[in-house]
Amino acid sequence: MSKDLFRQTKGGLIDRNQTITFQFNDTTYQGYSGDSLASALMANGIYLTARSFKYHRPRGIVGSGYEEPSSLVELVGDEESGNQPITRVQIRPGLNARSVNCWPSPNFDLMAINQYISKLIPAAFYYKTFKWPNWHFFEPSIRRAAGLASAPNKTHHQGHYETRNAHCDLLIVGAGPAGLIAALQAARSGARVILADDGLESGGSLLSQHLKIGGKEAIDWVRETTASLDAMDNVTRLTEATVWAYREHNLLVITERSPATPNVFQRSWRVRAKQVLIATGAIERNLVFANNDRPGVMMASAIQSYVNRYAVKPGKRAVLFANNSSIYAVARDLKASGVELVAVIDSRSSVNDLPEDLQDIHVFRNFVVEQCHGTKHLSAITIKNAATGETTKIVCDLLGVSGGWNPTVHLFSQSRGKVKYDANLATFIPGEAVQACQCIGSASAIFTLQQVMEDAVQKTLQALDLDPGNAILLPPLEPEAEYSIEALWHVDLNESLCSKSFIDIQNDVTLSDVHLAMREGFDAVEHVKRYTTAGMGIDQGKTGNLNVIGAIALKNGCEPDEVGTTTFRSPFVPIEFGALTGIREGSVYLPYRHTSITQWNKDHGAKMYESGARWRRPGYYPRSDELFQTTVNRESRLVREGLAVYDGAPLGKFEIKGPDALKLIDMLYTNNFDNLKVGMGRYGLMLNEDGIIFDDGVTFKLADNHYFMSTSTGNADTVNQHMEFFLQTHRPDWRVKITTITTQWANATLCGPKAREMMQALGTDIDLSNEAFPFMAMREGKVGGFQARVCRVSFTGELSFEINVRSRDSLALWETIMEVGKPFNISPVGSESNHVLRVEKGFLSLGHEADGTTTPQDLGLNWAMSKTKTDYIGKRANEIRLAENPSRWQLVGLLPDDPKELVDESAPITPGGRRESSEGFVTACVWSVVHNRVIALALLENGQHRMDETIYIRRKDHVVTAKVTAPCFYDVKGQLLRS
Amino acid sequence: MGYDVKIQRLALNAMIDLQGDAEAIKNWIKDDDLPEFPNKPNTSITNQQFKIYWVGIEHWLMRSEIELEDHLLEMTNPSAAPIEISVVQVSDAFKFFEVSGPDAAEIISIASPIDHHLTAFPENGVSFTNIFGIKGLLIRVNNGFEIAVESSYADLMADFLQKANA
Repeated sequence: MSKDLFRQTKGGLIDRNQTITFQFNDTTYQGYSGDSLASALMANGIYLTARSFKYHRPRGIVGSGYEEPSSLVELVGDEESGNQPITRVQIRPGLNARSVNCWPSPNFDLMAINQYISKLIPAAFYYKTFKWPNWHFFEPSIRRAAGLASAPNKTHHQGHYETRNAHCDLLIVGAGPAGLIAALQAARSGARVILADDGLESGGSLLSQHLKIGGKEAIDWVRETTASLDAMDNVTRLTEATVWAYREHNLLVITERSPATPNVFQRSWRVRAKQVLIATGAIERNLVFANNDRPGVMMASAIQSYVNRYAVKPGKRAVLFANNSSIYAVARDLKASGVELVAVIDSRSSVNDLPEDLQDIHVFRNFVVEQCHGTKHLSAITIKNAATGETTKIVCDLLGVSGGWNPTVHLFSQSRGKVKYDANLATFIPGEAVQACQCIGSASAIFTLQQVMEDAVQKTLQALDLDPGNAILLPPLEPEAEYSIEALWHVDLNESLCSKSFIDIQNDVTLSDVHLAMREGFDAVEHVKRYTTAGMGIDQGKTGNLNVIGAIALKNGCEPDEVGTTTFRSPFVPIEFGALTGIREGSVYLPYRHTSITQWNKDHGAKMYESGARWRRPGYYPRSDELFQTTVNRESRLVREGLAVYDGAPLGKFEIKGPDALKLIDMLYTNNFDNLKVGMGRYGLMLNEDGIIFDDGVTFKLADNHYFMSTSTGNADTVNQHMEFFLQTHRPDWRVKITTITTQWANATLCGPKAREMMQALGTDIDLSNEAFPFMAMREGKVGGFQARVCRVSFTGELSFEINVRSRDSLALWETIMEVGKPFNISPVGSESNHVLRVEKGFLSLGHEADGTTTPQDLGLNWAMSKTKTDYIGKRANEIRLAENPSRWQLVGLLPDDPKELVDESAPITPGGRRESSEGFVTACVWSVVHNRVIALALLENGQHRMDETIYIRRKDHVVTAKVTAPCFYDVKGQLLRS
Repeated sequence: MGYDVKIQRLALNAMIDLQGDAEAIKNWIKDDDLPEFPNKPNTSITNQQFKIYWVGIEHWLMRSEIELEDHLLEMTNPSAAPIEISVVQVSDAFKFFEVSGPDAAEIISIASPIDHHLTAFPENGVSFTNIFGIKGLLIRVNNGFEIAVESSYADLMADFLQKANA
């Protein structure tokens, strides 16, 4: 189809030398470089571009930028994405877009039947209707019918998303006249400036208007200014970059839709700005009257943009309808474009601002448009004299409407700045700022170019704390008429017309819906919003919100400021999820940590998975066709009967030193450390402030007030924070220094009855005898040729030697162990067998028994609670807990009556197995290689006093009975680990 | 590759973590080969053999080539250091990466929220910061930056850097 059917023969900011072919709804069209999809379709005479969300009414193009409420498109192919306002999609070779809310096409949409049942589906009908038998019965089909597009099901082929950070002295949001002059002022003062604009090029409203700046066309001034800015190192100028969120501490988020970097598809910037200038301009309001959604009804400013910027003729016979003076600039440009301007309908009772050069226009003063005619396109309008009620029908195919201008205060409001109502301007304007930001230009309700530029320069100087003498010289500007308006929130409803007056075009919300909500008692603006969905979704009330507020005010007989506004939420425009996550997908979606022998583990078939604190650890090492349980049994048996080695590198490790180090250790742990001897270690429990177990570990004394602390793997970082928090906030006077050495030291743990023999085989200068190197001791020396710290602690209940070496030596040590250990049939074991072995011993595990609710007493660890220490973290809360409820859920062992039945961990225990409140749950359940049967640990109400009792564990389809036992199934006296 | 940078994982370095009163540390470590301590927080002092980074309140890192590790340990003698100061060998705790080239700052912008502009992070700038969500040390060097992370995160860091420059 020809690209010039509705195109002016000259003018516009398009490049007529570059023709671009694209597809829309499976039809091929042509446009020019610089065209938006909306302008290109308009030039091709395509006016029906979408169907409405709910009623599937025919919809066309209404706006020219991000305010477009009517026509959303889906991009298909390599750029697959949804929720794209048709006005923000630039045409480019290969572009393939299609309309939403219609099937098979906007021209013939089967769901248009909704128009005929619209009386049955008013606002909130589904709240009332889909109650029986159950909302969830209807939910899937409603979800399928709703939504504005389908989610993409493949990744982009043209690069990846990126997120980045930036800092600046001044972030200017919007590169219209205010933003550009502010940027120039700031940049020349040497400030670091970021200037971001949603548009394809800088200029904002200047791109759509015929104005002179400094005696030249405004576009020339724009291009000179941007060239100056681009030449300065202290300026970052972004185009097609929308600032869509304003967070705390002047953190703003920008998404750049077409960054110049190769391979980067979209880029989000998290900008921390010292000062922010919001130069987002103003958004024109719609006017509310019957059938105001017909294709051919457009915002007046959009018409101006299409005729000036894109050299498009949006229609042949035009009428303009407004309640403010800005309509006359549109009338002038429309006339100049060659479109026949039939009339201007000015709702104001007296119009004093008709420009001299437009005296020949037929102006209907004190008239309103009552109704639009036509089905798939506007064919005529009926206008009504507001004083007499007399009506007149005018044939036209284009109606431009302007309900006045709303400063774009979305970001200002997101910054928590207050907005206030200005009755003279009939809109909400920025009030007091909360963060370091100011609105400038039209965003601060200033509407003449001279005032906009003066305001921008003055506020820039203020923001940068510069003397007024530093102000740059403004270019001479032509005089402009002052903006004037008389509020018109809606044309009075005429029930006899049986037509809908849309107040929120995107969400298909009518004036009647708002009145219905109020009749049903939802008369607060936030309630109206939720009842009707007005102002929700990607539109966020850009063109319709104030009309909703005005309608409520009219109905309530009050002023809009008494109604208030709804919350302006981010994102200001639709943002793709990928632009939020950036490169954090695929292999780095979940952070991971490796030990020095991770690759060895992988090479030897270990099944690796997350085991706390992002460590990927070997779960088990299956041999050829071994099943999971067979492997775990083999590894567990190896530890009980022979020799195994475990990669314990991830254990948290800290060196704690200073004159007050012992005080800190004693404050952290529940037991005493003051009598610990050098070279010895002690098991300790840490509580949180609530008296609940927070972590456990072993701390060795290296010297007086010098300790080597090991913590659980999963809690290492949290323990570090816990210690630093305590020192920095509670005891800043204590002289203690903490150094994290988790990855300085790697750890290979030899465990099993043959561990001592293995140590000797490795060769060591450490005396390994039980007398010289007892349980819970630490010795330093050479092991297998490596300098090591060896600790005698045990998590398995067997004789164990934890060999700590520098991480760089870890792999060599490990390979030496595997080689030297061959005569002992040594094998590596994973965390699964460790789990079995610790359950057999009844050792607590964080996340299982210590699940954030248990005290040491619950787990039978009363021995670890000092009775002599005056204080430790969590002491008082722990005592209160016990005093309040001595029969808490307590740790017990369980022996299921069926010795082969493994029970799910976390399975509830209920009285008699009945479906009632649980009295505990299973914390761990394993196959014991020692007893050749299933054993379990559980937390059971008053469990320590219910030995030998039968309890009932509820599973999905049956109840398991089990006998309560002591929570230790192996070497109760602990002789083996001390051997 | 999206950016004009060279990213490489560096060899092991010798590192000592020093904490405590500055004067006490200086009194303990007396060596003619050692440079003066930095006089501004989050800056470094470098001579031909050693680098000293001021990374926190009463907190410094000393760094050298791994070949000088024994010399560094002799100088600092961690196990004998007085109780007032903490001297801990941490050579193995860190893995270093270098991001160099004209677009090095672009990669750092992706990696970290730190303000690395020369006015905020000078030529001898060094700071712990968030690097791809992980605690890491950022050091400005000739023609780019060095990043040091806890060694367990080295593979993840390499993965992230590769993705940032894909």
